[in-house]
Amino acid sequence: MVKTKGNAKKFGMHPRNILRQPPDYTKLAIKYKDFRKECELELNGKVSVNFRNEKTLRELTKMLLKEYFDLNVDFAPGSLVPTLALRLNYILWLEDLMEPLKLQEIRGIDIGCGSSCIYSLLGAKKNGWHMLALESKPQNIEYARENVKKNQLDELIEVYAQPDKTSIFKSYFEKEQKELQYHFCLCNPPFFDSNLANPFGGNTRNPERRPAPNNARTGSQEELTCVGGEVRFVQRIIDESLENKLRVRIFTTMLGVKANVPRILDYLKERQVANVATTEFHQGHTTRWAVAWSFHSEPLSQETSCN
Amino acid sequence: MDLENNNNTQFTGKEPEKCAQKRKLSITFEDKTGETKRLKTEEPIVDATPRPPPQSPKKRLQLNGKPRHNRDDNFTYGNYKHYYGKRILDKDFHDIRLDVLATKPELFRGKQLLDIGCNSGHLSIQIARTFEAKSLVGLDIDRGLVKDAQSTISHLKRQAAPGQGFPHNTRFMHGNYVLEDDVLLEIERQQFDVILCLSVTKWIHLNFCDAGLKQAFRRMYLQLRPGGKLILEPQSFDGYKRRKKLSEKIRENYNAIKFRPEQFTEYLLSSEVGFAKMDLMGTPEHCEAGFKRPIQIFTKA
Repeated sequence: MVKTKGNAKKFGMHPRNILRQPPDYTKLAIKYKDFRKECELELNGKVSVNFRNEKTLRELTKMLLKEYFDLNVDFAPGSLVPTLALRLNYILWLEDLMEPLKLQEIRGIDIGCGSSCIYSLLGAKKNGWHMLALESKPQNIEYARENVKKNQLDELIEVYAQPDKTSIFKSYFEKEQKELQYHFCLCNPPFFDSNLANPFGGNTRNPERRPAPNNARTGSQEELTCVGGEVRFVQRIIDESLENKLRVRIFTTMLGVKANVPRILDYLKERQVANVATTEFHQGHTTRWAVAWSFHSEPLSQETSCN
Repeated sequence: MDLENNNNTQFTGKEPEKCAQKRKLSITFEDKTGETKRLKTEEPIVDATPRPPPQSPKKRLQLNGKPRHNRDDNFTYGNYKHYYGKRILDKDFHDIRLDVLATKPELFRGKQLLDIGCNSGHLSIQIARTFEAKSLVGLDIDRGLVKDAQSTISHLKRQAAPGQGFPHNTRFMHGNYVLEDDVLLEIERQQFDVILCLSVTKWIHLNFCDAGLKQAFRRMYLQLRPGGKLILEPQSFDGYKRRKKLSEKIRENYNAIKFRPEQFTEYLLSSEVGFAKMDLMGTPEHCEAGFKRPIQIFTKA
């Protein structure tokens, strides 16, 4: 159930997030047949959505993208199904970061765009951003390219096939001669550490007070885990950012675990990166964190938080 | 100016002459908070009529004639407030239809029931209790009546020993049985053994027309398990006429009716719905002629 009105102000989605008010699933089920099939009809005629079912989540996100953005998106079987509320919160935060720069044309990098290429699609469709979508998994690359084509966003989005998971910008910047400047990069790193015996174990000290998430987990091992988990992955982004300081105006990444935020902030501090900002994304019962850093002189606005 | 003692009335800070116009607009909950804020900076009201005796500020600013939230004096849904009489939990409560239903107790024993248009729940509760149903859900379009039913059953639950059976297996829900759109029937699921639809068809018919009633019939079929039964007590058409004047909409709907009660059985047995057979259960004997409605059983194969 949605939190109380009081809580919503403090822990709600970004003020411009269209999903801030829950959508009328009954009306949407009437409109969209594929979505309807995944819904449950209550006795009182209202339609309810079971977020713990993977197929339901898939159809839900597809439907919301179509309804609110006129985007037709397909996900590779077994691949991560993004939740729209969180993706929107991230995009809206980026909009807030870009706003003071007063740019005519904005170029961004989507690190690990997945099969949906959702961030790039949203950025391009909603804001006309030019997106470079980096992806290493062949099946995802294929679907991402198809999604871009289907939505006629080829002019705005380039999907680049990363040779492997070790490089972030390296591979593309080496081959790309133009020395284009990018204004931001974004990333949903693989949260979990493949080195651990139980990567999805979680760290909660109190399982009774901290129930399992409401959503079904989706995504392949490759998408969800990597060596050293999100900390190691983000550290690599930071390392590469140090080698390409002025190439990207504002580097950003999401983090899935609250405890990792200070670890990343320390990592930045050790490398004398002073221009840093953080934010939180709230959607339903889930909170995510994001860190931004820049080597340009204008300090990053601390006001941009998703509350 | 009459002032109603009505806690649900919305109030504005506007002058009395403007009140009449404001009354016609519907005020939502969000407006109410806005109105409250506006009150603090409003100029004092200049009364054309003599000031009423001093009361609390809230009462002084009430409008008369503003409909109470969800109050329907016309009972346009047949949602009569004292349908079962004024006595709640009366041990002597005995709806005459129970006699007919009692001729076939095996229909209900150990079964999952749905009662459409349960009103304040009196009859539903009697059925669940007397015939030892496995469970019973009552649905009604009137929020107030459902609340009454819920408080009755809560009371019984508190009094009874904990367990699986009655009254713990009985619950009531607010809602409209007729769906927003026919396509939603595609995702309806089998979930009941018996559906009771007693003296409700007239109200569905007058409020939601032929299309709404037909959809309701189809929904009943889809919600029943194989072998399930619909127990139907439809009102005859001559009873519809005197309800014409309930509202403008009802009169329009009445005039548009082409699907007559005499055609219900044929429709329910047709491929559009799909019931396999109809049996006559009986007609209540010792009651007013107006309530002598035959009760039918439709069986799903």
